[in-house]
Amino acid sequence: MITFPILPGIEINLFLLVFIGFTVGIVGAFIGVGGGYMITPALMVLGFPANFAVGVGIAHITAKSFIATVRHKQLGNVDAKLGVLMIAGTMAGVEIGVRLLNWVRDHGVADKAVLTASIIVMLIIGGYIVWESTKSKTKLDEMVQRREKLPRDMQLSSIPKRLQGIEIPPMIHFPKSRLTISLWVVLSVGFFTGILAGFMGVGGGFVRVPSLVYLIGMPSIIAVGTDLFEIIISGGYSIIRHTMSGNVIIYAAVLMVFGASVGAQIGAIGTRYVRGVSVRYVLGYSVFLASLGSMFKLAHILIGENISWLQKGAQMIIFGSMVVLVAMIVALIGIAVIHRKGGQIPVWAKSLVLEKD
Amino acid sequence: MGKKNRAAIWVAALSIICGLIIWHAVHWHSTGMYMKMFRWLGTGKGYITVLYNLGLMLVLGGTLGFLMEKITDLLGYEVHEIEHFDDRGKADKLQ
Repeated sequence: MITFPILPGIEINLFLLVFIGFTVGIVGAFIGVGGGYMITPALMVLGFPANFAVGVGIAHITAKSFIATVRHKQLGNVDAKLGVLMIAGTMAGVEIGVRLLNWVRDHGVADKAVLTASIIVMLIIGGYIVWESTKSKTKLDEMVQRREKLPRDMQLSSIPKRLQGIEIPPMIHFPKSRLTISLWVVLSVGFFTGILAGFMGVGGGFVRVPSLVYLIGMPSIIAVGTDLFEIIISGGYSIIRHTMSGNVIIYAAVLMVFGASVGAQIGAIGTRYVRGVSVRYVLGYSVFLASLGSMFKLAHILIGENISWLQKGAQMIIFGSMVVLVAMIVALIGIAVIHRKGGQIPVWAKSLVLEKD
Repeated sequence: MGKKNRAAIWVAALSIICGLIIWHAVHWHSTGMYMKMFRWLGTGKGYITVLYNLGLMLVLGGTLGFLMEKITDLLGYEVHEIEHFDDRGKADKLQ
């Protein structure tokens, strides 16, 4: 057990603190998100007050994203040029989103409206990702049955083609992602995802990764690395804001980063073994599980502040979802390793994993 | 010099840096320096706490990231760039 002078009387389990860093490291590095929506409730379960849970989470996310980005860069999963350009739009969007949130709060529409909007957005995004991934997997399964060679990635959306067809100068070529797209489209996508992230009070990885894939047209695994690269910068900005607000217990974040450093390797290297559709599946379910946790939180606010089991339920669902997601990722990597060694794997899994790099 | 020897030197150097960061963090936690810095917030010295927290997370993230990369090199685990595109057939392109 460990104590922090800032939190008198509260003892935190050191092993669980490092373990949270480890599990979120795996999930975050595999699907390209910071994972604040998992860390905050998990830290609250451990005993951190809500504001410190957010502050410690964001500090650890920044370092963890740096660790994961180094590995993703080595794997060729980072489109730094697109990431840097998109950050400008994202930061402007986040600022507008935060101001919108403050305006809504000033007009008396408090947490209920924000939480409801967050749940709707998460259900739409999560639902779309799962629907699209299922369709793509079905198509890949048909190819397996016809014994055709499977593509590295496949996404069934015509939106990227339409957006790439908007030829407003300057048109920019991104060799890593093999895209030529207007700068204004990149900035606009960053701006609108930034507004959503700022308004919902999250880092926004689960909005940005699908946007990079379904709107910009980036391969899923490059979207993962590029988003983590963006989080280093946006997370750094959040550290400044949260430290100034007195929400960061830096020693707790340092301890979590050591767990994350190992977890992030598993998650990032895991992208070597799977097709893009697997990453989208895990991302889709992750967003769904997060929306379920938020529904409990909303019910807690609507029904009554005194019903503590609802709050505990929300925290436990998100805490439990981390374990489920890690299990999904480890299972996918395990199946891929067996496949590469020439072992038998279920037919349904053949469309999810890669036979070779 | 072989790849593994180079990796070993890197691992040793980066491990020392990580060790120093851990020692520093534990030391400042136990001596109450972090609490003192926390109380600086809202005063004229608050910017030191902000810069320290930001710097520590970036240095720790970068050092651990490169240390992990070099450890896998030392272990002989080959990490190549992933081939995201396969141009050998129409079906291999993103749709």
